[in-house]
Amino acid sequence: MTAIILFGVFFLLVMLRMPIAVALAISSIVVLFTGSGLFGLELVADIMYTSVSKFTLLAIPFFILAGVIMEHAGISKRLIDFAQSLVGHRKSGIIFVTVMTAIFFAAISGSGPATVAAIGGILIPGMVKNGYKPETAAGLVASSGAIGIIIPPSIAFIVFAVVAGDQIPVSIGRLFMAGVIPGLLLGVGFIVAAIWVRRRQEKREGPIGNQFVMEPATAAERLKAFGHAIWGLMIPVIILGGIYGGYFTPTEAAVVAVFYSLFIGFFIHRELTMKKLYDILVAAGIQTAVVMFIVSAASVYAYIITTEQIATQISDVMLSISGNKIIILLLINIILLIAGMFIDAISAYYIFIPILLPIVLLFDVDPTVFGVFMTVNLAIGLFTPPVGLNLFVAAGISNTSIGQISKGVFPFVVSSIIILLLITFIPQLSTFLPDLLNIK
Amino acid sequence: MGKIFNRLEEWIVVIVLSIMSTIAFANVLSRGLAKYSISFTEEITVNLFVMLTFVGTAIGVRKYAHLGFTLVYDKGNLLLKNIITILVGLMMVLLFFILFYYGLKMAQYQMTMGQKTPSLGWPQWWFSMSMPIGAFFCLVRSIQVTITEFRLQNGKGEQSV
Repeated sequence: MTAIILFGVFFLLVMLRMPIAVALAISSIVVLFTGSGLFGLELVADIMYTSVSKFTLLAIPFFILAGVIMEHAGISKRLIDFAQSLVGHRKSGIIFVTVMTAIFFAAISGSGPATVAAIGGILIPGMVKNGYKPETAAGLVASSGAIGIIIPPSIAFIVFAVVAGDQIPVSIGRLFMAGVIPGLLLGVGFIVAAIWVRRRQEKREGPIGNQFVMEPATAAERLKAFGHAIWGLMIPVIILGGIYGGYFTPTEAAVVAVFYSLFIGFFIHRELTMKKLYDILVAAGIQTAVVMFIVSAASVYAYIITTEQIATQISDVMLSISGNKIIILLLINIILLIAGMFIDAISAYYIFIPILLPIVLLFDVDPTVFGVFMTVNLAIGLFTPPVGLNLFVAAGISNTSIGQISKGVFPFVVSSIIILLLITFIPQLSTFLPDLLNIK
Repeated sequence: MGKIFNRLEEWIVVIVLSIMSTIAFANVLSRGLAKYSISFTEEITVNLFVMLTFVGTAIGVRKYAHLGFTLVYDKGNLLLKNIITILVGLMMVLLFFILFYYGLKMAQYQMTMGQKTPSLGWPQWWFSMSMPIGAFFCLVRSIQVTITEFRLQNGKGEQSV
């Protein structure tokens, strides 16, 4: 009964355009107030305060801030130029450039929409100039940007580790490393899908875009572009090297990234000013608040799911459907894919980890592997209609409608679901790297 | 008045985030270079984080930065839109009032009990005030956004937020 109220009220409120965080909090308030009166309300305030004041979560504002600084410090532009000089002269070069820079930017920022915003402004017009349809261009950028939450550093993985940590310890360092191969695989999938779209378009409308392909860059030009991009290229080395070399915790690495990118922005690229810094801090503050407000409201929701035995009830139902590991994992993927279409990754962690983690542990799934495929599910949700956040950002940049983009993104959704199944059923894709490097 | 209020929120966010970053960076430097840990400052950072969250949330309310699902609202007629706007507005006011009231109560309790923070020994209520202060900003913003939106929907001219 409590479960029905909790989920029902939440669903109803979300349909009424209530911000997801507020809907989570209000549906929790309804349950707690009917259950324990005014004391329930005190509990809400208490949980919302303590869930934010956690040291591990401090990595979030710093990674967000570093990402916003990099967006404005001229780093993405130089990375794109460098990638262009490498493969820009090839027939599908722009596709490689888009996916490569998306993955690279993902490796320095940790957020999907931020990646789309940082590279979309240059790459969507670039692809259109090369003869691609705007909706294909926007679709590729929106989907590639989602790799941002899988390639380390990733805000999503940090939250996963914090939430799952209530049940079983999960190392952020191991999770980060486990995301590398799946993230790259998704990139490969997007490249294949984009080439397929291009071929199909050519079959129908004749050869496209070759006249815009640039001359191969000379070695000297490549070296020059590399020289410009080197400061940005160093960022993942510092962040990941710092974490895995044992020098920094993820939070410390995030802070170092903030000051390193400030240094580049002010003194190397000279594109930052104090006025811009003010705007950057405000923007990063709002983005942080949006994430953390969800964290605090969803914590109350997760508290009810756990204490009211809702998690146990639902897992009993799921296990009664089948005791087969493959079927259960497929079922979990379907649930998460659908959920990912409507709610953001952070809320999804708080709602679904208490329910699903005990089930996958029952089937001896490594929690790290679960973290990766759950996050891939939610990443797909970032660029799946109707409310994929990346789609909205990409639509805004490319002046296409959500309807058009929804068509353009379809091949990429299909390719990512294929990769998702591989990641779910071949755990070695996630565990190989961390095991190889002996990261616990 | 509205302008000053906007600026105030933004400056709080800017200052809080700057202090947090600087303290955290100083922490890395002092541990790495001077081999001297100033980890007791974590207490300040973590509590400023709460302030950042709730004041930032208020700006987010004003700028419609909090994610929602707009399909039903967009397809609805004026009556439905009005009902949704007022209902959602009331719920937001309720939530932020709860956070404001019980946050304040918690701080008051800590004040009378004379609770001190574990590592710095500062009065705990200094830190606890960050949630009610932030919630107050959110409360004001929710009311403001709801009224503005209601007026806009019913064609009573634009009012800048």
